[in-house]
Amino acid sequence: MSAKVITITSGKGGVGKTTATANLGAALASTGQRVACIDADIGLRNLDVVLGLENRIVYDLVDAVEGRCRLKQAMIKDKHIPDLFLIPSAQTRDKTAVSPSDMIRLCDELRPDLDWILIDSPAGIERGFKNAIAPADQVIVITNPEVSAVRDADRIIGIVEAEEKGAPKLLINRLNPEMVRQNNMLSADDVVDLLAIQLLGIVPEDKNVIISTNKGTPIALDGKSPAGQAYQNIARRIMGEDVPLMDLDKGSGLFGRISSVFGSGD
Amino acid sequence: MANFIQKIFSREPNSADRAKDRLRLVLINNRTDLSATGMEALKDDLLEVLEYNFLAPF
Repeated sequence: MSAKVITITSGKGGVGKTTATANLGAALASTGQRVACIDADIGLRNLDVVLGLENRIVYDLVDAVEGRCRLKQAMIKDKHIPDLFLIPSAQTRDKTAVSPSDMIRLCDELRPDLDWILIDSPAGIERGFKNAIAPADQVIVITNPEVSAVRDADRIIGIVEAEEKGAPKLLINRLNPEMVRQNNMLSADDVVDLLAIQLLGIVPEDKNVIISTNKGTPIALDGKSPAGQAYQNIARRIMGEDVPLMDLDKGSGLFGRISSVFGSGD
Repeated sequence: MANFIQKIFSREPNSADRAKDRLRLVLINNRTDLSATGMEALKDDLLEVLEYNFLAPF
Protein backbone atom coordinates (compact mmCIF):
# COMPACT_ATOMS: atom_id res chain seq x y z
CA MET A 1 0.00 0.00 0.00
CA SER A 2 1.37 3.40 -0.90
CA ALA A 3 -0.86 6.37 -0.36
CA LYS A 4 -1.48 9.03 -2.95
CA VAL A 5 -1.16 12.57 -1.60
CA ILE A 6 -3.84 15.06 -2.65
CA THR A 7 -3.63 18.71 -1.63
CA ILE A 8 -6.79 20.83 -1.58
CA THR A 9 -6.11 24.51 -2.14
CA SER A 10 -7.82 27.66 -3.44
CA GLY A 11 -5.86 30.86 -3.04
CA LYS A 12 -8.83 32.74 -1.66
CA GLY A 13 -10.00 32.02 1.87
CA GLY A 14 -13.50 30.86 2.75
CA VAL A 15 -14.33 28.97 -0.44
CA GLY A 16 -14.58 25.61 1.35
CA LYS A 17 -11.12 23.97 1.43
CA THR A 18 -11.50 22.60 4.94
CA THR A 19 -15.06 21.39 4.37
CA ALA A 20 -13.98 19.70 1.13
CA THR A 21 -10.97 18.04 2.80
CA ALA A 22 -13.08 16.69 5.66
CA ASN A 23 -15.82 15.44 3.37
CA LEU A 24 -13.62 13.88 0.72
CA GLY A 25 -11.70 12.19 3.53
CA ALA A 26 -14.94 10.91 5.06
CA ALA A 27 -16.34 9.80 1.70
CA LEU A 28 -13.14 7.94 0.74
CA ALA A 29 -12.81 6.30 4.17
CA SER A 30 -16.48 5.24 4.21
CA THR A 31 -15.74 3.02 1.21
CA GLY A 32 -13.11 1.20 3.26
CA GLN A 33 -10.06 3.18 2.09
CA ARG A 34 -7.50 4.18 4.74
CA VAL A 35 -7.29 7.98 4.80
CA ALA A 36 -5.38 10.62 6.74
CA CYS A 37 -6.39 14.28 6.57
CA ILE A 38 -3.60 16.72 7.44
CA ASP A 39 -4.42 20.28 8.49
CA ALA A 40 -1.57 22.37 7.06
CA ASP A 41 -3.02 25.68 8.23
CA ILE A 42 -0.67 26.26 11.16
CA GLY A 43 -1.91 28.86 13.61
CA LEU A 44 -5.50 28.73 12.32
CA ARG A 45 -6.55 25.13 12.69
CA ASN A 46 -10.09 24.21 11.69
CA LEU A 47 -10.17 20.75 10.16
CA ASP A 48 -10.51 19.31 13.70
CA VAL A 49 -13.80 21.14 14.37
CA VAL A 50 -15.27 20.29 10.96
CA LEU A 51 -14.61 16.61 11.75
CA GLY A 52 -15.82 17.05 15.35
CA LEU A 53 -12.48 15.91 16.81
CA GLU A 54 -11.39 19.11 18.58
CA ASN A 55 -11.61 17.52 22.04
CA ARG A 56 -9.31 14.63 21.20
CA ILE A 57 -6.18 16.55 20.25
CA VAL A 58 -3.09 15.72 22.28
CA TYR A 59 -0.25 16.14 19.77
CA ASP A 60 -0.22 18.05 16.49
CA LEU A 61 1.64 18.35 13.19
CA VAL A 62 4.38 20.58 14.64
CA ASP A 63 4.93 18.19 17.58
CA ALA A 64 5.43 15.35 15.09
CA VAL A 65 7.77 17.40 12.87
CA GLU A 66 9.85 18.59 15.83
CA GLY A 67 10.04 15.10 17.32
CA ARG A 68 8.05 15.70 20.52
CA CYS A 69 5.91 12.69 19.64
CA ARG A 70 5.86 9.83 17.18
CA LEU A 71 3.85 10.51 14.02
CA LYS A 72 1.28 7.84 14.96
CA GLN A 73 0.62 9.66 18.25
CA ALA A 74 -0.44 12.79 16.33
CA MET A 75 -2.96 10.78 14.31
CA ILE A 76 -6.46 11.10 15.75
CA LYS A 77 -8.93 8.35 14.93
CA ASP A 78 -12.27 9.59 13.61
CA LYS A 79 -15.46 9.14 15.68
CA HIS A 80 -17.61 7.84 12.86
CA ILE A 81 -15.36 6.10 10.36
CA PRO A 82 -12.74 3.59 11.55
CA ASP A 83 -10.31 4.15 8.65
CA LEU A 84 -10.21 7.95 8.84
CA PHE A 85 -7.47 9.80 10.72
CA LEU A 86 -6.70 13.47 11.36
CA ILE A 87 -3.33 15.10 11.91
CA PRO A 88 -4.29 18.47 13.39
CA SER A 89 -2.23 21.61 12.94
CA ALA A 90 -0.72 23.58 15.82
CA GLN A 91 -2.75 26.48 17.12
CA THR A 92 0.00 28.45 18.84
CA ARG A 93 2.73 28.38 16.20
CA ASP A 94 3.11 29.92 12.74
CA LYS A 95 3.77 28.64 9.24
CA THR A 96 7.56 28.83 9.60
CA ALA A 97 7.46 25.98 12.17
CA VAL A 98 7.21 23.52 9.24
CA SER A 99 9.14 23.44 5.95
CA PRO A 100 8.20 21.91 2.58
CA SER A 101 10.82 19.18 3.12
CA ASP A 102 9.30 18.39 6.55
CA MET A 103 5.96 17.83 4.82
CA ILE A 104 7.52 15.55 2.19
CA ARG A 105 9.28 13.51 4.90
CA LEU A 106 6.10 13.25 6.98
CA CYS A 107 4.00 12.08 4.04
CA ASP A 108 6.65 9.56 2.99
CA GLU A 109 6.52 8.10 6.50
CA LEU A 110 2.72 7.81 6.29
CA ARG A 111 2.42 6.47 2.74
CA PRO A 112 3.01 2.74 3.41
CA ASP A 113 0.09 2.47 5.87
CA LEU A 114 -2.55 4.41 3.95
CA ASP A 115 -4.42 4.70 0.64
CA TRP A 116 -4.93 8.47 0.64
CA ILE A 117 -3.39 11.48 2.34
CA LEU A 118 -5.46 14.65 1.98
CA ILE A 119 -3.81 17.95 2.85
CA ASP A 120 -5.91 20.99 3.72
CA SER A 121 -3.92 23.99 2.48
CA PRO A 122 -4.12 27.42 4.08
CA ALA A 123 -5.34 30.35 1.97
CA GLY A 124 -2.74 32.49 0.24
CA ILE A 125 0.33 31.73 -1.85
CA GLU A 126 3.04 31.97 0.81
CA ARG A 127 4.92 29.50 2.99
CA GLY A 128 1.87 27.61 4.31
CA PHE A 129 0.62 26.98 0.78
CA LYS A 130 4.10 25.94 -0.36
CA ASN A 131 4.26 23.49 2.57
CA ALA A 132 0.89 22.05 1.60
CA ILE A 133 1.68 21.42 -2.06
CA ALA A 134 5.27 20.18 -1.60
CA PRO A 135 4.35 16.48 -1.06
CA ALA A 136 1.33 16.48 -3.42
CA ASP A 137 0.91 13.89 -6.18
CA GLN A 138 -2.28 15.65 -7.23
CA VAL A 139 -3.66 19.11 -6.48
CA ILE A 140 -7.36 19.95 -6.30
CA VAL A 141 -8.17 23.63 -6.74
CA ILE A 142 -11.47 24.61 -5.19
CA THR A 143 -13.38 27.73 -6.16
CA ASN A 144 -16.81 29.34 -5.92
CA PRO A 145 -18.65 30.59 -9.03
CA GLU A 146 -17.71 34.15 -8.16
CA VAL A 147 -15.28 36.73 -9.61
CA SER A 148 -12.76 36.99 -6.76
CA ALA A 149 -12.58 33.24 -6.08
CA VAL A 150 -12.11 32.40 -9.79
CA ARG A 151 -9.40 35.03 -10.16
CA ASP A 152 -7.45 33.58 -7.21
CA ALA A 153 -8.01 30.03 -8.47
CA ASP A 154 -6.41 31.04 -11.76
CA ARG A 155 -3.35 32.42 -9.95
CA ILE A 156 -3.05 29.22 -7.91
CA ILE A 157 -3.34 27.03 -11.03
CA GLY A 158 -0.45 29.00 -12.58
CA ILE A 159 1.72 28.48 -9.49
CA VAL A 160 0.88 24.77 -9.18
CA GLU A 161 1.78 24.23 -12.85
CA ALA A 162 5.03 26.19 -12.42
CA GLU A 163 5.92 23.91 -9.46
CA GLU A 164 5.57 20.96 -11.86
CA LYS A 165 2.78 19.32 -9.91
CA GLY A 166 0.88 18.55 -13.12
CA ALA A 167 -2.45 20.08 -14.07
CA PRO A 168 -4.63 20.51 -11.00
CA LYS A 169 -8.26 19.40 -11.02
CA LEU A 170 -11.16 21.74 -10.35
CA LEU A 171 -13.84 21.49 -7.68
CA ILE A 172 -16.60 24.10 -7.94
CA ASN A 173 -18.19 24.64 -4.55
CA ARG A 174 -21.40 26.40 -3.50
CA LEU A 175 -23.01 26.56 -6.91
CA ASN A 176 -26.61 27.75 -6.70
CA PRO A 177 -28.53 26.13 -9.61
CA GLU A 178 -31.45 28.56 -9.24
CA MET A 179 -29.16 31.60 -9.63
CA VAL A 180 -27.36 29.98 -12.57
CA ARG A 181 -30.75 29.44 -14.23
CA GLN A 182 -31.54 33.14 -13.78
CA ASN A 183 -28.16 33.92 -15.32
CA ASN A 184 -27.08 35.64 -12.13
CA MET A 185 -24.29 33.24 -11.25
CA LEU A 186 -21.41 31.89 -13.34
CA SER A 187 -22.30 28.39 -14.48
CA ALA A 188 -19.94 25.43 -14.05
CA ASP A 189 -19.30 25.59 -17.81
CA ASP A 190 -18.36 29.29 -17.53
CA VAL A 191 -15.87 28.56 -14.75
CA VAL A 192 -14.36 25.58 -16.59
CA ASP A 193 -14.07 27.72 -19.75
CA LEU A 194 -12.27 30.48 -17.87
CA LEU A 195 -9.88 28.28 -15.89
CA ALA A 196 -9.30 25.65 -18.58
CA ILE A 197 -8.57 22.69 -16.28
CA GLN A 198 -10.37 19.40 -15.83
CA LEU A 199 -13.54 19.50 -13.73
CA LEU A 200 -13.55 17.00 -10.87
CA GLY A 201 -16.97 17.89 -9.54
CA ILE A 202 -19.58 20.43 -8.48
CA VAL A 203 -20.91 20.78 -4.95
CA PRO A 204 -24.21 22.67 -4.86
CA GLU A 205 -24.95 25.26 -2.21
CA ASP A 206 -26.69 23.34 0.56
CA LYS A 207 -27.78 24.56 4.01
CA ASN A 208 -27.15 21.05 5.32
CA VAL A 209 -23.41 21.77 5.10
CA ILE A 210 -23.70 24.37 7.88
CA ILE A 211 -25.96 22.11 9.93
CA SER A 212 -23.53 19.17 9.68
CA THR A 213 -20.56 21.41 10.47
CA ASN A 214 -22.41 22.65 13.55
CA LYS A 215 -22.65 19.02 14.69
CA GLY A 216 -19.11 18.09 13.67
CA THR A 217 -20.36 15.31 11.39
CA PRO A 218 -19.20 15.36 7.75
CA ILE A 219 -22.09 15.86 5.33
CA ALA A 220 -20.58 13.24 3.03
CA LEU A 221 -22.04 10.63 5.42
CA ASP A 222 -25.54 11.91 4.54
CA GLY A 223 -26.08 10.65 1.01
CA LYS A 224 -29.57 12.17 0.91
CA SER A 225 -28.37 15.78 0.99
CA PRO A 226 -27.28 17.26 -2.37
CA ALA A 227 -23.84 18.29 -1.07
CA GLY A 228 -23.29 14.93 0.63
CA GLN A 229 -24.14 13.09 -2.56
CA ALA A 230 -21.84 15.40 -4.54
CA TYR A 231 -18.90 14.64 -2.21
CA GLN A 232 -19.54 10.89 -2.49
CA ASN A 233 -19.52 11.19 -6.28
CA ILE A 234 -16.28 13.20 -6.24
CA ALA A 235 -14.62 10.64 -3.95
CA ARG A 236 -15.56 7.89 -6.41
CA ARG A 237 -14.07 9.94 -9.26
CA ILE A 238 -10.86 10.35 -7.25
CA MET A 239 -10.75 6.54 -6.96
CA GLY A 240 -10.93 6.35 -10.75
CA GLU A 241 -14.60 5.56 -11.27
CA ASP A 242 -16.47 7.23 -14.10
CA VAL A 243 -19.35 8.94 -12.30
CA PRO A 244 -21.57 11.35 -14.29
CA LEU A 245 -22.16 14.85 -12.91
CA MET A 246 -25.39 14.96 -10.90
CA ASP A 247 -28.47 16.76 -12.19
CA LEU A 248 -28.57 19.95 -10.13
CA ASP A 249 -31.84 21.20 -11.66
CA LYS A 250 -33.89 18.38 -10.22
CA GLY A 251 -37.03 19.53 -8.39
CA SER A 252 -35.86 23.06 -7.68
CA GLY A 253 -38.63 25.63 -7.93
CA LEU A 254 -41.84 25.66 -9.93
CA PHE A 255 -40.16 26.53 -13.19
CA GLY A 256 -37.66 23.71 -12.82
CA ARG A 257 -40.44 21.24 -12.15
CA ILE A 258 -42.55 22.44 -15.08
CA SER A 259 -39.65 22.43 -17.51
CA SER A 260 -38.58 18.98 -16.37
CA VAL A 261 -42.16 17.74 -17.05
CA PHE A 262 -41.84 19.02 -20.61
CA GLY A 263 -38.36 17.60 -20.95
CA SER A 264 -36.70 20.97 -21.47
CA GLY A 265 -34.91 20.99 -18.15
CA ASP A 266 -32.02 18.98 -19.48
CA MET B 1 -43.98 44.07 -11.48
CA ALA B 2 -42.08 47.27 -12.29
CA ASN B 3 -38.93 45.25 -11.78
CA PHE B 4 -40.14 42.63 -14.20
CA ILE B 5 -40.97 45.18 -16.91
CA GLN B 6 -37.65 46.89 -16.38
CA LYS B 7 -35.91 43.53 -16.78
CA ILE B 8 -37.62 42.87 -20.11
CA PHE B 9 -36.89 46.28 -21.60
CA SER B 10 -33.43 46.93 -20.23
CA ARG B 11 -30.51 45.96 -22.40
CA GLU B 12 -28.19 45.46 -19.48
CA PRO B 13 -26.75 41.94 -19.53
CA ASN B 14 -27.35 39.67 -16.53
CA SER B 15 -24.75 39.69 -13.80
CA ALA B 16 -23.32 36.29 -14.77
CA ASP B 17 -22.42 37.65 -18.22
CA ARG B 18 -20.82 40.70 -16.67
CA ALA B 19 -18.85 38.49 -14.26
CA LYS B 20 -17.61 36.41 -17.17
CA ASP B 21 -16.57 39.44 -19.23
CA ARG B 22 -14.76 41.00 -16.28
CA LEU B 23 -13.02 37.75 -15.43
CA ARG B 24 -11.78 37.31 -18.99
CA LEU B 25 -9.81 40.55 -18.66
CA VAL B 26 -8.71 39.87 -15.10
CA LEU B 27 -7.36 36.44 -16.06
CA ILE B 28 -5.47 37.85 -19.05
CA ASN B 29 -3.86 40.20 -16.57
CA ASN B 30 -3.05 37.19 -14.31
CA ARG B 31 -1.45 35.22 -17.10
CA THR B 32 0.67 37.94 -18.66
CA ASP B 33 3.57 39.26 -16.66
CA LEU B 34 2.74 42.82 -17.67
CA SER B 35 3.11 45.42 -14.92
CA ALA B 36 0.35 47.95 -14.24
CA THR B 37 2.25 50.68 -16.12
CA GLY B 38 2.97 48.29 -19.00
CA MET B 39 -0.73 47.48 -19.20
CA GLU B 40 -1.58 51.21 -19.20
CA ALA B 41 0.91 51.84 -22.00
CA LEU B 42 -0.56 48.97 -24.02
CA LYS B 43 -4.06 50.34 -23.47
CA ASP B 44 -2.99 53.83 -24.62
CA ASP B 45 -1.33 52.40 -27.73
CA LEU B 46 -4.42 50.36 -28.59
CA LEU B 47 -6.69 53.37 -28.14
CA GLU B 48 -4.45 55.46 -30.33
CA VAL B 49 -4.55 52.88 -33.13
CA LEU B 50 -8.33 52.55 -32.85
CA GLU B 51 -8.78 56.30 -32.86
CA TYR B 52 -6.57 56.63 -35.92
CA ASN B 53 -8.39 53.95 -37.91
CA PHE B 54 -11.95 54.35 -36.74
CA LEU B 55 -12.27 57.98 -35.78
CA ALA B 56 -15.67 58.46 -34.16
CA PRO B 57 -18.02 60.63 -36.23
CA PHE B 58 -18.91 62.83 -33.23
